[in-house]
Amino acid sequence: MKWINLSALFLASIIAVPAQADSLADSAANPATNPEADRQALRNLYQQKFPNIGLADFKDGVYAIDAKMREQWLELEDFPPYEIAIDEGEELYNTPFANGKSYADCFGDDPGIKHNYPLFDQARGGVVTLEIAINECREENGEAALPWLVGELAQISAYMAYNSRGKNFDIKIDSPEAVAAYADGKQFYYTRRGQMNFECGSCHQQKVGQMLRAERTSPSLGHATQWPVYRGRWQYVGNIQKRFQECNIQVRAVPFEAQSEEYRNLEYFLTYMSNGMELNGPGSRR
Amino acid sequence: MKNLWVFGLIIFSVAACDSQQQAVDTAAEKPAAVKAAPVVAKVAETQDFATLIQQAEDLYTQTEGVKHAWTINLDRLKDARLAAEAGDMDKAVANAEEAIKLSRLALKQAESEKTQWRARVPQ
Repeated sequence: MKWINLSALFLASIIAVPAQADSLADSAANPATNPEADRQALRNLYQQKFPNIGLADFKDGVYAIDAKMREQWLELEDFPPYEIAIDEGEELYNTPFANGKSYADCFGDDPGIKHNYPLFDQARGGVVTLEIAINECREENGEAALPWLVGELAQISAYMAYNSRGKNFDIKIDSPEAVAAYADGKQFYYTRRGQMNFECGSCHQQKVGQMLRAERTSPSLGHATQWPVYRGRWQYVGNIQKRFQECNIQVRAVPFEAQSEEYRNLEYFLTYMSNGMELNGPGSRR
Repeated sequence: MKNLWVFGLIIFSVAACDSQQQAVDTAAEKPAAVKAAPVVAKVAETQDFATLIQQAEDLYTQTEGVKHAWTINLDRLKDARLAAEAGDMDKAVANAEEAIKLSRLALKQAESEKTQWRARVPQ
């Protein structure tokens, strides 16, 4: 009996070794399978490009790398243009639904939960952004879903982001399905698209910090920390996927729908790149 | 001999009359032909454009399918349709051809980016 067990163990080890080798081979062929290595590589890239800037400072986006713009931004922060959105978001957040329940029944007493989003929902097999969670909370309580990119949803998101300030992103990628979603987002990020033949990294990694017309290109490290954002160009607070659409249009690529699988996976990847960094949203940008 | 001359004269006059009539007929037909030519050409142009715009739209749909659609292609397709509606077939055809060219480039981009993106990931 003992010999049978040993033989079985030996056979199992023979079978297991090639399986493990295949898995490692897959991992080598597809760098997307190691999100943490990607995150470290990105941090190393910015450390090399900007040796005098602490990595934590990249939470301030382009204002971490341009002293004059930073000065202007800090002055603007004395009376931040997103302040109204936070107030309106707070009122919306605390107004009970028609059934008497509220967002607190979905998210708990602390609205500062943005540092955990986006998350991968194993049951549905997809990425859930904070905006999806907010709208699902509404629908579960008999309320209509809000438009994704601007308006009340962005205001509620701004209020929740404000309450998440000082917390660090804690994005989890803990299943093969989650890794696959992350990998899709990563591929999207580095894929050239549009007539301009740009990928996201063209501006935010390869040419980061350089002038593009009158704007300095911002670093992708820390890109997720300050959303939602009041942009001077928009004159209101909008969510990150609005910026995804805008970026795609700027390179003459047809944008994807807000909260499409493409953008959810992109947001998942991009936010994971900011993992461990402090949230400081909502932010203001030019 | 006199009869022969008379016979020859009759034959000549008949032939001349026929020739003159043909000339008159041709002259009469000419304006009609000049009028018909643009109509025929226009129909042909419209048919050519219909084929062309269909090809352009099919290629654009392909770029959507591979998630590499370009906004400029939408502009060109729209311009082509508007020009055709306005009867400016040269412009319509030029825009449709441009849309086809751009869609082919977009498809080429989609194909090459299947692998090229990896080279840009920081290591």
